[in-house]
Order: sequence, then C-alpha cells, then structure tokens
Amino acid sequence: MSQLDRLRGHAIARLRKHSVISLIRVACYVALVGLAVMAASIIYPAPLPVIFAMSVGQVIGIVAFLCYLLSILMDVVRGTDHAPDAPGPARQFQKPEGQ
Amino acid sequence: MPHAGPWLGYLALASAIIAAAILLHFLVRKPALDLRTKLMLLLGLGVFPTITAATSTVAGMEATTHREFCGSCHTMDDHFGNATDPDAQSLAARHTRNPFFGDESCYVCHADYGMFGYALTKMGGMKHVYYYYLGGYRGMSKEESRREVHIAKPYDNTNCRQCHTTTAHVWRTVPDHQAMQAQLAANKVSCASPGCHGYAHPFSKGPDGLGAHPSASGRPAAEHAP
Repeated sequence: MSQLDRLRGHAIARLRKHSVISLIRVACYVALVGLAVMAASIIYPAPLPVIFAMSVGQVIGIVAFLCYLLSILMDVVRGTDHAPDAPGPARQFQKPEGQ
Repeated sequence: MPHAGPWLGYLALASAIIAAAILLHFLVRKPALDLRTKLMLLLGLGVFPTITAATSTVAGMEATTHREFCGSCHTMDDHFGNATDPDAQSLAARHTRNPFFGDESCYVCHADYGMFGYALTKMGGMKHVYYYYLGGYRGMSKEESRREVHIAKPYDNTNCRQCHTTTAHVWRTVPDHQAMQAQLAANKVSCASPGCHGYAHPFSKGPDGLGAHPSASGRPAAEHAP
C-alpha cells in the first residue's frame, strides 16, 4: 500500500467518524446566524451592522456552505451508510448483514 | 454608484426569509436526506444566502451614501443639523436642499473623484469607523469633537468641479475665476473659502466661523467636512 493510499484511507476513516446529518445541522444553524446578520444590516443600516454584515456575515455564510459541501462529500464517500441519528425514514440506513 | 432603490433591500430580506424557512423546515421536520432534501438544502444554504449576501452588500454600500448614515455618529451632529436646517445658508445646507442629490449630499460632495474614487472613499470611510470606535471619538463630547475632528486633507476643488464645470462661459467670465484659474486648478485656493463661496460648514471653523480650531492632541484627524 502506497503512502498516498494510506493517507486516503486515513482521511476516509476520519470522515466516516462524523455524522453527515449533524454537520448539515451545524451548517443550518451557522447559516441562520449569517442570514440574521445580513438581514439586520438591511433593517438597521448603521455603520457597525453594515460593516459586520459585509465582513463577518458573509464569512459565516461561506462557512455554512462549506459545511454543507463537506457533508455532501462525506455522504458520497460513505454511500448510504448514514449515522444512527439521521432523520427521516429508515430506508436511508444500510440493512444489517444477513437480513 | 447607481441607485438600487429600496427593492434591493426587499429582495435581500425576501431571499433571507426563504432560506431561513428552508433551513428551519429541515431542522424542525427532519425530512429524509434524499436528493430532493439535498437540493432544497442547496437552495437554503447556497443559492438564497448568495442572493442575500450580494443584494445586502449592494444595499449596504448604498446605505453608506445616505446623509442619515453619515449623521448617525454623534460627532457629525452639528454638520448634519446645519446641513438639514432649512434656514441655514452654508454651502452644505444649500447643497443638501438640492432635490437631485440632497439625500446623499455628504457623500456626493466628499467622495473622491476619479476611476478609483468609490473604492478610495469607502476605504476612507473605514478609517472614520476606526477613529470613532477605536480612536476615542466615540467618547468625545460634542465640544471636544468640534475642537478635535477636522478634515484630513484639504478639500479638493475637483469635487466641486464634478458638477460646476469650469469650462462654461458663465464660469470663465467671472473675474475672480479668471484671476485664480491656476490656483484653483492646483488646489492652492479652495472654492469653499472665505471671500469666495464660503466654508461649507462655517460653524466648525471656530467661534467666528473663520478660523479652524487647532487640534489639541495633534493626532491625525478623521477626514470630514471642509
């Protein structure tokens, strides 16, 4: 096994440890904060809210979107093997061996 | 910057509300993470927030050109009050009463002219914010701010000439203009000086409205009104 394969395997193992759903949830909460900051700058266009929205607000939004992209990447890597806390119907979960 | 109008703000708010609704639906209803949900999340986390960010940035930049925005810091209370006083006859007040740009009179008169004028003006605005929140101006009384806050560099006549052309016949026939054409072009003499068109904000030039207050601290002053 080459060094590259070992690194790739290590990265995949690390990705598998974390739940896709929980990362999407984090992305949602972070995005809601970013949206609130940007909306506040429209409702109350004072110097600090406007500057805050154009800097911190947009960074928060980018972080949220990157979390979403990472979760999609994790989802692609692990296929349908979702974490146990995944919401929705059980059809997403892999059937146990032998069933 | 062209006028975007209030609709841009409404668009930013609408897209923020739609994105928030999608995200809250996912968090509360916990739908299955199928392709449809992923696409909805792409809208809620990618498309609509991008629209919100873009429109709120344009709307925010436009908000920074409004007179109320400039007057929102208490150190500008006197300038704002004088500019909006219907009885005042200062250059600032007369320009603020102009129906075409009066709502943005601070920005229109103080924005740097030229290709990078907009960006340079906004960078200068960041300096104002720094001075206000971190440079001690926030804690100043009005009396202190009148004494300490001065224009950072001499007011450029080019800003006047954006609207008041110096090539028109009526301008060139004024004897004082003819005599001082070179000095005016080189900014050696300001259009807004006593004996010419007068100070834009005369109250800021000392008790008699003629001499500028000396800066007691000697630190760099925020760029503001001439």
